[in-house]
Amino acid sequence: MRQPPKHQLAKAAITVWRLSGIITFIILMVMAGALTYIAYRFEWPWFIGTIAISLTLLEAMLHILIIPTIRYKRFRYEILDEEIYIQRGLLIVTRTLVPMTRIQHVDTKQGPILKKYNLMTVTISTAATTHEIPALPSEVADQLRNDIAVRARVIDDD
Amino acid sequence: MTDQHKLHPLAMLLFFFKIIKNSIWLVISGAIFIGSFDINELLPDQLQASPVMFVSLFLLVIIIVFGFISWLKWQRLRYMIHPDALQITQGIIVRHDRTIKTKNIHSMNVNQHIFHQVFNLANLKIETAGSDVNVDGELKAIDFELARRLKYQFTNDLPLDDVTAFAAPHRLEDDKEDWRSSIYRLLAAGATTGRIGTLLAIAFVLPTELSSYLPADIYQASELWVLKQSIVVWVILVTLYLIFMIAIGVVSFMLKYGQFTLRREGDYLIVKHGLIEKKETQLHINRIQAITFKQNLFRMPFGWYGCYVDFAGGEFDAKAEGRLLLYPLLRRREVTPFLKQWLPEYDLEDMALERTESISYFYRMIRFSLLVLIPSSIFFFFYVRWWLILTIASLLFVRAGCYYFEYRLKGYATRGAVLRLEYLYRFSRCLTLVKRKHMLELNRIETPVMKKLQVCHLKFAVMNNFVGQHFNYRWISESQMNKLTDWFHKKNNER
Repeated sequence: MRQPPKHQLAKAAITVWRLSGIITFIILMVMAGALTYIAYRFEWPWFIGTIAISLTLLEAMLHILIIPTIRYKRFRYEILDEEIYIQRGLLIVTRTLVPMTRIQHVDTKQGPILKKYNLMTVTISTAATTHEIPALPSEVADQLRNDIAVRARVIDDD
Repeated sequence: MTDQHKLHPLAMLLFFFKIIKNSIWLVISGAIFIGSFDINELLPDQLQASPVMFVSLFLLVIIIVFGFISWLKWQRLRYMIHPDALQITQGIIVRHDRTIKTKNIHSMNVNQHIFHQVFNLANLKIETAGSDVNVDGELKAIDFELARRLKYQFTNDLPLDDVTAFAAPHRLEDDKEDWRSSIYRLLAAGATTGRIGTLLAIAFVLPTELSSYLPADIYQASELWVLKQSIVVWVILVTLYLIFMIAIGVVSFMLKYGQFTLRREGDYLIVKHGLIEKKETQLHINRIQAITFKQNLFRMPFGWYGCYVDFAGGEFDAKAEGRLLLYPLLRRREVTPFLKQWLPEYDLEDMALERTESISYFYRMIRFSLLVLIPSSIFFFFYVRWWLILTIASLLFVRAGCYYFEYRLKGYATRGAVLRLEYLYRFSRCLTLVKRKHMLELNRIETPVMKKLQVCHLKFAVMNNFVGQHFNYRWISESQMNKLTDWFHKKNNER
């Protein structure tokens, strides 16, 4: 684990994370707005609404502007001969080495936003932990899943 | 011999207790509801009675219904012993027929509760790879001799139904001697177990809570009496009180782990303990994922270790954190012989430890000092007393001592496929041994500051019967991390 892994996610990942950030922001904003209206209607202290809205705005700023880029920069993966090597994190960076022989199953999944950009999430499970490689191009994800499955089996067979 | 067998009738009682235990809150709330509800309004004059009558009637009906269900359960449960499998058919309305092949069985555990001991019976628990009791098999009450026989046949890979092959010597010839815990050892273990800390905490809180539970006059009278006594009496009373609390801990420990015996049969380790409930746990050595020797705060001055193992599969016991106590108390010099005899693959003799880099301790000390000094100096700006400064200074001093202690004790070593880690975890000194092939993954964690200092955390997980056991080994240098990674990489070449 001297060098970080080689591959990065698809560039569209940033857009996807921003989009989901925007959706969360809209939901939170509606809730904050409702709270502000209730506070105004029942003459609660004015700071309740202010805090709710400013927290939502702060959250939006983090999740739409700042976090996606850092996350994209940090996240890296590499499929080695006998291991999967993943790096993730924002401030605290974690590098994980999962041997193929310990992998129990590999899943791919795709939500509506990911589908629009033709991306997929690959989940790798061991007996005790799961690891995610989010937002890979569909073809790469499928390839990767099959690849891991084959290698895990080949090594297991001996 | 594929006859259908029934459990011993005692199983009915055990089923009954289990149903009661599972539905106790429902029964209690039902009784309360009936007690508070005025049924008399709904009844003709001749049937009117006091609420006590109705509640007892309700309880009687419950007991009869539950008793009937237990009887049905017992009546409908049959087990068959095939040469290579155990078949259990059960269920009152929906019949479940489960055949458990011997090759899928992980272990057979023979437990004897006090009821079993009266009739010379036993509870046979069959564990497979799943962690669900409903998936595994359990024969609640069968003849003790039969249980032992089945277990013997299973352990030695003999056909299960071939009971004549069972010979009296329960052990194999080449087995080494059992380790039996002496009563003194168990007493020492009981007096220094982590539970003592909890009991002492209760001991301190209890007197202050008493005032709200005792009637006021009794409390006042006893308070007056206590205040009249001399200091010597006080000291004696407090000592007696503390000894009493510790005794509770020791007695409960003794009841659970009394007559502790560790034995090896073929590839199985057998742990037996318990005074009231005799438990016998069978563990195939291949299921062992990691071994931890643990020294809590009370045991540190004596250098005593408790030995725990993490193992894969089996029923999850939340109280034990998924770990099994392999031996209650070991002196420091006994650890090596213990491993040599029981788990020779993990032998740690002459395994030189490599200490962690000291720079991270300086960094943590500086970080801690800043966290303490900045707020306190702001505070001192407004209010300053010499004893406050002294407190802060001694706090820093103690912290530094802790870091030095941690530095002295922490270390790692690898030999062959075994990794040995020594570290502090929740005020306990731990020594963990884990094989490379059991480590599911290797994590390297670092923050920007740690990157500058060239240190990182190591984290890995092993399988157990629940979500896995995670080990953190923090603040090691990058070069050590690289060495460990290389060691971890080797795995696939020499599986």
